[in-house]
Parts: sequence; structure tokens; C-alpha cells
Amino acid sequence: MTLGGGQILSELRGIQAPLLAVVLIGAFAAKSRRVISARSVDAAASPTALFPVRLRRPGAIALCAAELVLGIALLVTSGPFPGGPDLKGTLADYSRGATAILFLTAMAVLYELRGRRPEAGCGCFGDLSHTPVSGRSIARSGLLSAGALVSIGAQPLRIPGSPGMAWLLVAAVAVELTALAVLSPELGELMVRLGYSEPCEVRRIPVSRTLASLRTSAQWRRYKRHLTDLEPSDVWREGCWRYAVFPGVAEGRRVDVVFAVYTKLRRPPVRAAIVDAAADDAPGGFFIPPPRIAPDEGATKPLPVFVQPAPRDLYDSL
Amino acid sequence: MTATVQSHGGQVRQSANFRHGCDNYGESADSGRYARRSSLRAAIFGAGAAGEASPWATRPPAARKALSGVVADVSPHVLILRTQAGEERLTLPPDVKAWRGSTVPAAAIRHDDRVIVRKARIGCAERIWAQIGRVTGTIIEREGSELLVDEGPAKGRKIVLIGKGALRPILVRFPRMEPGFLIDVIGLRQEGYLLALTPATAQPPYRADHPPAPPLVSGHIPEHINGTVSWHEPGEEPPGLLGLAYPALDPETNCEHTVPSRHEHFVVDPHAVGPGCVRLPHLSVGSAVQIHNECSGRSDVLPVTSCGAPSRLFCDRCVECGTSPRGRIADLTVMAFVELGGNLEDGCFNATLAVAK
Repeated sequence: MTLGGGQILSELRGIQAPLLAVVLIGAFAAKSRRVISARSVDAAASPTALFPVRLRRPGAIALCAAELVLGIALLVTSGPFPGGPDLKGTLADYSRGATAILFLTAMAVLYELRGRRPEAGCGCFGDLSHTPVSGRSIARSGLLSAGALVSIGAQPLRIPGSPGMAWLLVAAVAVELTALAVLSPELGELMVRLGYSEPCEVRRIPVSRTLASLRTSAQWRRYKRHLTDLEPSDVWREGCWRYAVFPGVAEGRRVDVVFAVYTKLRRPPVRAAIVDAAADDAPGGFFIPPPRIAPDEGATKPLPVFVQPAPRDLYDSL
Repeated sequence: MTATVQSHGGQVRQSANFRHGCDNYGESADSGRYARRSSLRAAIFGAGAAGEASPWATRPPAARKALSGVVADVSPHVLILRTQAGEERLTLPPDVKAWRGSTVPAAAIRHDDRVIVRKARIGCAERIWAQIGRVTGTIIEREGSELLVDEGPAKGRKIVLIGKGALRPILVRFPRMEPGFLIDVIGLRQEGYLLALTPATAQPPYRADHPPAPPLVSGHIPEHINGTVSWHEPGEEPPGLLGLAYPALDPETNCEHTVPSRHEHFVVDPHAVGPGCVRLPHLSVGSAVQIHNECSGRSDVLPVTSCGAPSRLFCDRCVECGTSPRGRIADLTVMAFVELGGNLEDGCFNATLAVAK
């Protein structure tokens, strides 16, 4: 092994401690956030799901405390330390050893959890860790415990001797971070949260807003003359469309004029149809036979026909 | 029954006034309005696949696998039921499975028991459930093995008595048997209470008023959503109703604003805890959804018949055949659950839901 390779390994061993500190403090922060939002320590108790009930809460508290204390200890002992090199070296080795034990224990617990509670998430990073425990999570704990073990006795971090060495070190760290990312189901969840915009199927739009949009639409102007009541007899929603039905009369027959308004705030698409009003409101009212010609120009002209695109095509066009 | 639990007078119903504006097929005088919605939607966007029957169409008896009634007579080989359509005779083959608190011989079913039957074929029973009941909700009082459970604004409160010998297995799955936590148990329906015998799921670790937030979905909600399907007792629904209580009714036109604020300790309004832990498209009563039972392979198109907001509180998984994704996607009527091949004593099946086009 060349001197450069030995130096790289030495630097890699030294970088493990701050890396582990970031993971531990991040896990503590994610669990704390969940506890604060749920206003209950039980929300952080997922990792202790196998414990007896009376030990779950103290176990969760102890785990969070251990993550915070070890994370801080690893960070502090990675850099300059007021107690001198001997004290620092002792504390560094103990904290790294304790971290290795923590992750090895986590491996064993996750393995048991996967077998006995296959539906449970590990709760390692709070809300982000809700998927059931898989081999990835267990392997990740193994990788982190290996990182903690190799960091015992490592030299403190120092500035690389040359730019080439620095780039090699960066590449080695990038490989390790990539491995951690691949083994972390939480990353996908985080990416979704960062790029989030609410789908139209769950968007909240007040009914008044829907009706206001409808009343300014071309479809409303076209069909309004058929309506016998300007207030809807029924309003409901299915996914990205809200429907409003108005009683009306067309060609001397009672009809229902049904409008579909997309769940969009500004200028939503509107679709419409006229349906024969069934006398007994039985399902399957039939259509007024529509002549296939251009939009009507007066009361004597036949009713217009509008051929609607399939809803999924419409989504794409929007 | 203790004085504390008795103070709520047995099955306590919330006043019907709260439900003004809250759609419910079974309790509406204008139920035809809901049934018509599918056809009105089809008038704009076209009907579904050719030959697809309306979810509201009455199915002929020969097409239905599930049947409910009251036992008029039972022998080792024949079961006679009094049903809405009259008397029905069913042959009991040697391998018929019966449940009455536990697996029992069919002859152990009692006269006047209310039963649900799944038929293997016309006139032949495959499975029988006698006096089966279920309570799902938030514990608001506990006195020893007696619980008062709030099932949500629509269903009110139910009394649960945990049967002797059932306390240990129920405590294993529901270790926090205390007010403010969720419970879901199956047992024998008695006059005024449920004798709980089996846990229906594992207790969620969080308090009832703090379910996890749903995962975020960019773009569109997937067309097919996987999750857990449960069942509920008929209550005031028409007997034999095939439908489902949907957890994500449109908050603007359904139940979200109709529940008066309640400051009673431990009572949780499921409409106020967010959308639950599974992202579902907003629908309304009358919407048609396709449910595919991943365990039995059966599918059916069913109408949404009521609000299933209490299902949002549960972020559990069904492990009947593999592990389902987290969250309850539908709460079927007992007949729909059996029709789709579910076993009532299991409490759930893994399923895929899609909005019927």
C-alpha cells in the first residue's frame, strides 16, 4: 500500500466520527420533531416497539438522549479539545465505541422487529421512517457500526496535504454517503416532501368558489336559459372534478343540467351535459338524443353536443 | 355493568341534528339522489367499461354470495334462515365453517341468532358467522374489563365487555387499554354491548387524536391505491347493503363542518385530525369505487354509502396475505366484506382501491 493510500484510509477513518455525529443528531432532531408535533413521547417509541409496554417510553427517552449525547461527543472530540490530547483521545475512543455498540444493538433490534412486527416502521428518523423494516435498514445500521468501529483510535481530522489527496478524500466520502443514501428509505420520502404540490384529487376548494367559477364560464352562459332554478339541486365531488346539478326544462321536457368543474382556483375547465330528469330518480337517466351540430344559436335550434376528452387525457393537457 | 359505564345508558347515540348536511345513504330520505350521481357523471365523461353494471343495481339472489338473516332452525345438515326476502334453506356440507365467538360446529348456532352466510353455490353455505359484532374507536372510559368506546360522530358510543379468557390476547395487541387510545375488537353482539373476544388489529402506538401525517404525493394520486380494508356493523344501514364507508369524503360538501365542537375529554372528532395516513382522492356518497381483495382475488364495484372518517385514525397494516401498505382505504359494510371473500373474524384483508370510471 502506498503512503498516499495509507493516508487516505487514515483520513477516511477520521471522517467517520463527524459523519456519525450528523446521523445521530439528525435522528434525534427527527424524533424530537415528531414528539413535539404529536405532543406525546409515545410518538418516538417506534424503535422500542418490542419492549414491554412500561419500558417503551423510558426506552425511547433513553435512545434519544443517547443519540444526542453521542452525537455531540463525536463532534467535540473530532476537533480541537481543551482537555489535552490524552483526555480527548480517551473520550473519543469511548464515544466511538459506544456509538458502535448503539448501532450494533440497532441492527439486532431491527432484525427482531422485522420478524415479529413486519408491519412496523423503525422510526429511526421520525415521520420519514414509516416503511416496514427491510434489509436496507439493517444493512445501514451495520455500515454505521462498522464506521464507528474503524474510527476508534483514528487520528484527528487534518487538512489534506495536497489537492489530489483532498479530491480522493472527497470521492471516498461521496462513495460512503452514496452507500448510506442507497440504504436509506427515508431519502425518497424526503425528496417527495421537498418537491410537493398538492394533487388536484385532494385540493380543498370551497363550493362557493366552484359555483362562482361555473357562473362565469362559457358553459354556464350556454345552458343557463334551460335552468328553472339557479341554485343547484345537488353538489358532489369525485377526485379532480366537482359536479353541480341544476333542474331545467328543454324541448318541453324536465331535464337535469349537470356541470363538472375542475378543482383549480383560476379559470378551471368546465364540462356540461343535459340529462333527462328521471321521474323516480332511479339511476340510469337517459340522454336527450343530441344532434351532432355546432353550438345552438337560438331556442329553435337543436341542443349542442360536446365531446369530452377522457379525464386522464385532460390531466395531461393541464 | 358498573355505575360509571352505566351512566351513559348502554348504546348511546348522538343526536341526529349533527348530521345535517352530512351525506349518508342509509339514513337519508333522498337516497335516490346519491344513486343518480354515477349516471350524471357518466353523462359528461362517458360510462365505464362495456357491460359494467351500476354499483347500485340490485343483484339477483343467484349472483350474491353473501346472505344475512335470523336462524329459524339449524341441524347438522340444514340451516333455515328468515331473511328479508322470506325463508331460505341452506345445505351445510361437512366442511362448512361456523363462527360463534370461535370456530364451532354449525349445529352450535342457536335459534334466533343473527347470522351472515357466505354461500359456496346456490343453496349451499360455505361459511357462517353468528352474532358477530365489532367495535372500532377511541376508549373514553375504562372500568376493569368494561370499556366505553366512542366510534365517531355518526355511530356514537358503544359498550364493550372483554370476555373472560380474552383479556390476555386482547392486551397483547392493545397494551394501552386506557382512555384516549384506540381499540378495535371483534366479538359476540349482545343486547346493548359487545362481548369482545378477538383483537382486530394491533394497537397504534399514538394517541387517537395524533395519527401520523400522510405521505406526500406529487402529481396525481395513483389510480390504484393499496391498503387495508375493514368492515363495520350495519347499525342503521339497510340490511344487505353492499357499499363502503369512505375515509376521504369531500370536506366541503360532507361531514367536515357539521360536527359541533365537543370538548369532552378523550372524545376525538376524526374530521379534525387531518386526512389520516393514506392519501385518498376526495369522493362523495354515491361515487363508485372498485375494490380488489388481494387475498381472495375477488373484485367488485361498490358505491360509497357513508362517511368513514374514523378509519383515518388507524394507520395499521393488514397481514392476512403479506403486509399491506399502511392505512385503511375503505370500511366495507359487513355484506360487502363477505361478498368480496373476506372472513369477518380476521377483521381485514389487503386490498386495492380504484375510482370506477
